Amino acid sequence: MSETWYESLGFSTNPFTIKPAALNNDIFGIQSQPIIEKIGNGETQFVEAPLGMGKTTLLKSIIAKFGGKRKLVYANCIKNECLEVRELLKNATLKGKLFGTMPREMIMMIDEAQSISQEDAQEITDYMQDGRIKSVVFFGTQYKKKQLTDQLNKSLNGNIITIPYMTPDEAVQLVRKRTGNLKLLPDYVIRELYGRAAGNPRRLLQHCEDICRKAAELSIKELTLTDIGILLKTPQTAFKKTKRAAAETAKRTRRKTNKSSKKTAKRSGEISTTVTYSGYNLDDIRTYEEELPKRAQ
Amino acid sequence: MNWHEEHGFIEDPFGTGKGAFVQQAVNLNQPAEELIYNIEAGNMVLIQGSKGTGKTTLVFAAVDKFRGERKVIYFDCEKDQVDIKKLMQNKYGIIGKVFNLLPKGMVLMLDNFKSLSKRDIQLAKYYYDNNYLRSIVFSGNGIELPENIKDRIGSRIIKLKQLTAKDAVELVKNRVGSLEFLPEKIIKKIHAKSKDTAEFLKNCSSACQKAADEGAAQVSEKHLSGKNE
Repeated sequence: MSETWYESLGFSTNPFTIKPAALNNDIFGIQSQPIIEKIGNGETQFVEAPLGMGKTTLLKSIIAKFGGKRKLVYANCIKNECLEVRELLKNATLKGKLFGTMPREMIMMIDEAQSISQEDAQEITDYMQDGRIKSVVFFGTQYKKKQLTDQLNKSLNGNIITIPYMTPDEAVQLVRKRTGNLKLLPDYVIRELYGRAAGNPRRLLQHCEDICRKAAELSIKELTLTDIGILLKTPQTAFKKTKRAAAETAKRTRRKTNKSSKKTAKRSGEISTTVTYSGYNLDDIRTYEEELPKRAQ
Repeated sequence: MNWHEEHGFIEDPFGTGKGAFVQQAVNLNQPAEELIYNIEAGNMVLIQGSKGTGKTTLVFAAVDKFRGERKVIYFDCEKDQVDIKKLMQNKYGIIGKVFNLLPKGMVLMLDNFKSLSKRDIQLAKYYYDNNYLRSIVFSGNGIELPENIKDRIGSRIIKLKQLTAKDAVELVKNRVGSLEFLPEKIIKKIHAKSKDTAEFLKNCSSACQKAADEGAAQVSEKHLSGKNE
């Protein structure tokens, strides 16, 4: 095959790759600083977000901050059948590897925590009581009380963090970080694509890739809003899916949070659906921007 | 004597071996381009299509493209229990196994993913997320993929369609060379009778054999009828 679209635009690899933290550790939409501070205080936290919202990217950026100090252990619930917390802690330091001593005050990061087993949770609590583990951060799609032990639930109290939606400006920043000042994708096109992605960064990147590829094939110099409607035909099923997903997240947040955030959550569900339906109308994009839920901080 | 030997072919031109005759595949040119692009760009791809539409042929076309760099892993999940970690360590031979080395930027092609366990799929996803795998190709149909894999695939699904009558004629032309022995009219008839590409090729072969047995100059309709014997 001849050169791909990104090669003809001057990139050596696909700039819209969906791998977590593929190009750099920068994250948009959520500050990692409060989480790092809480880790320092020895608090237990649970980061909860739907698929493709950037959980693993956030995790990797936090790991990068603690890198090289031999204080942090990372485990993936899916990769290993059981977590083997003991082995993980032992192998974290050189002393532990040689003499089998257990380190103290370790930080533990657990990815895909929605599929954690109860035995693992029990083991983690035991080591926390011993003082071997200082703080634990879980990352998962959904927080279930049943899966964790009572003590973990107690220490988790109030520390359930949901990753908020990026504002359209941050979405533009995210794409700009990857592409530089690419003429093909003007800012308002990125905003529109973000609206179509219903606030999901992974979907936004996929949309960007699809549309850039098609545009390069047709040798379009600069995309406009009408181009999007023609080039990016989202199938009907995808519409339904985003609608359902938005309704579900709205329901979930409504259950948990108090009255004030109730309204914003409800609104976020409405907005994402209306924007995907209404197509490419500049007025709609502006309302979307204004009514976007405020950050939960 | 076999009919194809009579006509100067060493092997049966209608052979249906897995991934046979990659170059001659007619209806797969565009899907193959799509697949190769997605592999190069580092996306997850799903190939769907009912039995005999050329899923394996398509995967082999991509394997051919990336051959020689020790970058491609092809695995037929129906044949054996898959152990993705072991497959990846094979790149560095024994040294890789001893020191637990994992290569980066591999391409994994899983044929007949129906018989994969859920854990294996999640493991593949883990390797993909951490850049050990550049791209994953799932091929086959049957079970639904887990939600987080579907989210990564997005709209990158290649659907293979059944062979049309026009494509069928083109396919035979590509494989045999000329349509003197097997006229176009007969090909279309055989195509109407067979369910999928694999069966179509088999029927073509048996019809030709019958005609050759009788010593006819051309395959005609009477050679088609008795193929159920």
